[in-house]
Amino acid sequence: MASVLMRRGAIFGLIILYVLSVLSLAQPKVKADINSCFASVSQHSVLPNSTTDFSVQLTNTDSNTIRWIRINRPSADFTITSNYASGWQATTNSGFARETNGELAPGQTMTITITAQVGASEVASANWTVTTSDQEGINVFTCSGSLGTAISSVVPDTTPPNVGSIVASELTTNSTTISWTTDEPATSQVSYGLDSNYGASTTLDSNLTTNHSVSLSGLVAGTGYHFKVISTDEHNNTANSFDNTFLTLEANESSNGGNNSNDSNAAQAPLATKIPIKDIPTEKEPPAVSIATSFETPFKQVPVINGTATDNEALAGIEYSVDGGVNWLQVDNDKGLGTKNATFSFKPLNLEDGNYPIIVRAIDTSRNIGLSDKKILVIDRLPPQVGGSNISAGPQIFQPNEDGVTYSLVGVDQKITFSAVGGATQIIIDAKGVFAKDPSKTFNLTKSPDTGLWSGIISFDKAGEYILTANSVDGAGNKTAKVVSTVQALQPGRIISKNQPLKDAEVVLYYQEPTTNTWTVWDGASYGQTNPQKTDAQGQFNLFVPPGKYYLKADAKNHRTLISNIFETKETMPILSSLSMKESRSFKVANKTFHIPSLLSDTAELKPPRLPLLHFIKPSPIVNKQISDFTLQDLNGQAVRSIDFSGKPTVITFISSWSPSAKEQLAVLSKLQADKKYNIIPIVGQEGSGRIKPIISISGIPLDVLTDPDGTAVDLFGVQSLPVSYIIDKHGLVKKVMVGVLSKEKIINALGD
Amino acid sequence: MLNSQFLGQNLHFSIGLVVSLSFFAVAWLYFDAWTNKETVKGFFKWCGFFLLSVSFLIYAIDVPWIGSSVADQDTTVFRLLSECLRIAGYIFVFLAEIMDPLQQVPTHESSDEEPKDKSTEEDAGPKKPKSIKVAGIVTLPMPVLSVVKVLPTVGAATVGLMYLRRATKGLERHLRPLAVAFGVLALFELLSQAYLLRASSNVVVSQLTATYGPIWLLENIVLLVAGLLLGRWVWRYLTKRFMSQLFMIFVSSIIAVFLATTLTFTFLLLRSIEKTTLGSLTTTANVLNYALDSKRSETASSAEALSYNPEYASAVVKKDHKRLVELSSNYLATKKQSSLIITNDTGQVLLRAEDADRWGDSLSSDPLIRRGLLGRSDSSFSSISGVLAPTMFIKSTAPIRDSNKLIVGTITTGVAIDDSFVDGIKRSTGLDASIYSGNVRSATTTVAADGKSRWVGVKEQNKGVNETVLKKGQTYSGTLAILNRPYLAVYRPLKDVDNVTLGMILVGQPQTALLQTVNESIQRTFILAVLLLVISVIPAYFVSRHITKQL
Repeated sequence: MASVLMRRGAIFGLIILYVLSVLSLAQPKVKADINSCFASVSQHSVLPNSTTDFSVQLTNTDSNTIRWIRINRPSADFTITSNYASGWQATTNSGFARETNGELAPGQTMTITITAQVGASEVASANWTVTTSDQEGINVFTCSGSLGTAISSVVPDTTPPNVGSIVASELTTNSTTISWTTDEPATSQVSYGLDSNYGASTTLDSNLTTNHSVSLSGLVAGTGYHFKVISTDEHNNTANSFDNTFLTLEANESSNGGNNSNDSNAAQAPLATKIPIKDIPTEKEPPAVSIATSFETPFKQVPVINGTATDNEALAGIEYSVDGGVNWLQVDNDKGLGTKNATFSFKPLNLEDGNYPIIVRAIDTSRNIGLSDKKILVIDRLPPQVGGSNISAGPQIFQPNEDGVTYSLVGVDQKITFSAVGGATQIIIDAKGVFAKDPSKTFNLTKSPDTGLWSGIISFDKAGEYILTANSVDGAGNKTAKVVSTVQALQPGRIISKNQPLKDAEVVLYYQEPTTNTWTVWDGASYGQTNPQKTDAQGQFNLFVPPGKYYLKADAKNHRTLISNIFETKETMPILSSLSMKESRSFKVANKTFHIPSLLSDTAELKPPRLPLLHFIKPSPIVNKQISDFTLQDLNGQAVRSIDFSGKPTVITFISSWSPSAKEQLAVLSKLQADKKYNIIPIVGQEGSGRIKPIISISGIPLDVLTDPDGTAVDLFGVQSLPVSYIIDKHGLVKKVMVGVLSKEKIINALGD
Repeated sequence: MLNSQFLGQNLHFSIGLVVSLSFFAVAWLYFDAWTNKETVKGFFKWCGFFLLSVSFLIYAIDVPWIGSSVADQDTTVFRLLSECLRIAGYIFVFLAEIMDPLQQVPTHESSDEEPKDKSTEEDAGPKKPKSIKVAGIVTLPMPVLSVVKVLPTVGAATVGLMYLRRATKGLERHLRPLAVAFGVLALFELLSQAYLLRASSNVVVSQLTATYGPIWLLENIVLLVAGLLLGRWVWRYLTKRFMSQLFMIFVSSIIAVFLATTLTFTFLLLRSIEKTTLGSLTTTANVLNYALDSKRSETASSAEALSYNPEYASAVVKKDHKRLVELSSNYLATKKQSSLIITNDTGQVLLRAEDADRWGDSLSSDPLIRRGLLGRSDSSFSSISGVLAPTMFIKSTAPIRDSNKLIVGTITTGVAIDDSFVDGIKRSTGLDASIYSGNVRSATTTVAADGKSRWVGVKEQNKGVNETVLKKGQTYSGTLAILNRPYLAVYRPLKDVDNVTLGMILVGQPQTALLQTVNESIQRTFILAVLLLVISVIPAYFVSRHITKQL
């Protein structure tokens, strides 16, 4: 009985469905015209006697589909020669362009390109006429919109300003100044924030200028910032730069020199004065100090600096500072202390290449302090030169592969650190995509006053291969450019649904803690990453994981939960897989879709990434070539010539004491040096024996190293990332370049080849 | 986690004991019968059940614990022993059943051995495909091993089928509950092999089969059901004889008492170990603080000692950089310091032993050197930035005075609190230690998965820690996950000369280390309880016999 009832119910339901579908099919048959559309033309002014491509943008704002379009010229001064619209059949007449056999659905926009010859006379602005219909030229409707074009020999400016030379300078713990140039006068504004979504902007400086400078303040110390500059010219053409980065100084670094509030320090009493100071001040006039030495040209060696000081009462002491007023020293020679006029001279000791802000201060017997003007002393012995580099993110070091290419993930900020000699005052990394279509970006570097190392944030928002060039400038204006690294920015993992990227899906990475064998949500924050995270508009999520066992879970609204397989990695690994999620089952009631929450989950295969092949690996230019002769000093100051290496297989390893992997590599080399079959030559780049000697003696590793304080060998070999080893045969030919920390076996194998 | 492991272990132990008791009761029943009529099959029977009883006693001792790897679980001696005994037990019972002729239902044509043999073969028939199927699921690399792993399941199922045959084809209908019990037992045997799938790359499978996971729980419940079925069946027969009844009541109450004692004891043990560990951690953190203080006074005294050296004083007065370099040439290596800075009376650096070529600059704004020039000796923590993380230093300054006691300069010595310092702590206390500059780890004993590099540069994200230690400057102690690993940990602030918190020091013990201790104690307790139990069964037997005889 029940089954009979059910069967009847089903038949009844089918009938209703049929009726409904017939009704719905019948609906579009109702006759309708186009009553609403919008069009605009790209060129509002053209030169006389020119041939111009006009692009007409047409938007269907009606509820019916447009199937026929005709565009009439503004006047007889225009002669249409051709026209084109994708997906339509175009007909060209000198007076009009017609599009047929195509469809423009409601709400859609299309572009029609019309090429026309323009007459010789100047004509005031006249409108193009755009007519549309849902059938062949019946019941046509004329679209509204901005369609005027004038013929004029004065061409209005439609090109945005060209933005160049973006520099973040005067970086402190909480502020910086962004400067850039434009090729025409324009306004200035900077958007900045912790990622490429920025979030903050400076107030718009509406003064039109070609040299722009905007100050940012209230920044957080030791943090990488992303920024872009925005300039608008007087014709309202706006240029946005690509994404750039800078890194603020660490908070604790200011104690040794980064402190810019020199007024408070300068006001402090000198440590010692040669003339006793009165217990009770009798006047308040500070002394006047002036430096006589001219600092206009850079010096090869530290000069003797002299000048004069005067006071209305009597001078008690004179001091100078080479760091802009943080630390002070008494001048070497002074004459006339205790009187109203004094002269002084001093010669700072052991200044390496660089810019030194010099201030001289004098104190009188009433404890008044007068400051000289700040002058910049530029010592320039060598051109600026960057040494080997290191790329890291949080606690993870990104070792380059054997070709010297470092893998990176789109959307992840990485820290690049390297040493530099030659007194660079500014280093900017220029990242150029190997393909012309890839955007180029600049990353501003910050020098640590503690260690003298330069570091900055590199970040890419498009996958591709990038060549990083460090452009350094020193105080004397010497500029050098050196390729420091090749980075392959990989496309991060994606969540897709129906072949479309899925936004706002929650991705959770689970980690199996090896001692307890329990699965927990991976502690991404400790590694400077986000977990769980939401996918962005491209459906992307950024994860690169340290060694361990993991699985990934994804949840999204109206989708079934997705769980990957368990995967294990033995090294830092980016997750690059594209995971596809399925929609949960749904039913429709009154045009609304309801999804049934699914208890079951889908599984997905997550494979270790296959890293893409690179297009632009050039073998190191020195491979299979004789090494040029160079001379360096060992730790005892003895000169060592590279020509003495021949006769035995040789390994030259470049290393820096600050590199995180230095200790490990030095220990390996120390063991190998005992074997006299080979020449094991560690070269410490851009660091002097004064620093390396104590490090070697404290570490207790017996090791002979060569020092290269000026970076001559670093330059000769074109050292990029550290450590790097060059395998040289007994004839002095470079056989192989090996990047990264090498084990004893690896080196012996390489030498044996 | 500790508690769930504890509950799981005790559940496992209790169920093991109950099942063992049931089998012991059955063995006793058959043993009793055998003493009346000593046949070989009777011997096999009670022996088989007795072996099963012993095997479940051992099974009860074999407590699983979170954190042991699959390989560990696989090779437990107890597990192997228990499985072997079970297989032996099943074989004995199986042999006994083969020897025992089937009591045919009277309506059927009675025949001798032949049909019985056939029926055994029939029983054996479906067995083989089953074993192959199970082996297919397990997919172990060694087919031999997988056959061994399948034997207990096959054994229990076969015995169950034989009893079923007796109850259905034969007359012995009372054996039906026994057949069901063995059937359930076969299910248990199958489930107990699920741990082999724990290494699966499928998340669901791996989580289902985890230690104390759903399948583990099911396995224990199934075992309990089998034990109870068996117990109920045997109880009916035991009550038929007074002596047996008395003996079983004795044994049951002994088991109940032991169970209660053991559970209480392990619970108390757990609490006390947790308490002691946290207490000892606090002590260790204090010791650590003391170690840092002594390191600080070490640098202070070495600065002081140098400042009294007249050779240094005269070189400082003469501003003789070369002489100072000669004097200090081996100082850093011999005194195990990382930094030595000597300035004159204006704060001009005359020597930087760690970077000998850099001198002549001024450090007049350095707070420690300023204090030194005012005649005060002082120490402080400081941090210097690095590639992955800043390095923490302890620095001490002392003034240098000439023969007239006038200050002519300062000496500052410093030592880096680096990996070797925390390694020293690990060597002497066995605890993991880390040094943080701010919330960034600058030195640690925790080694990354590659076995050599350390997780330096990791940021501590625990809000409680950052709030208590870095903001308030107080000590934090408790259980928390550090890089996903559960720890019992104590954090102490590191402060500079102005009492500003610059960083912190962590000492901790992974909870698994603690679990291991607890686990070992619990297992020992279980073994002891079982041994005492077995021993106390003997007097129970004599007492019950004595009472029975007196009636």
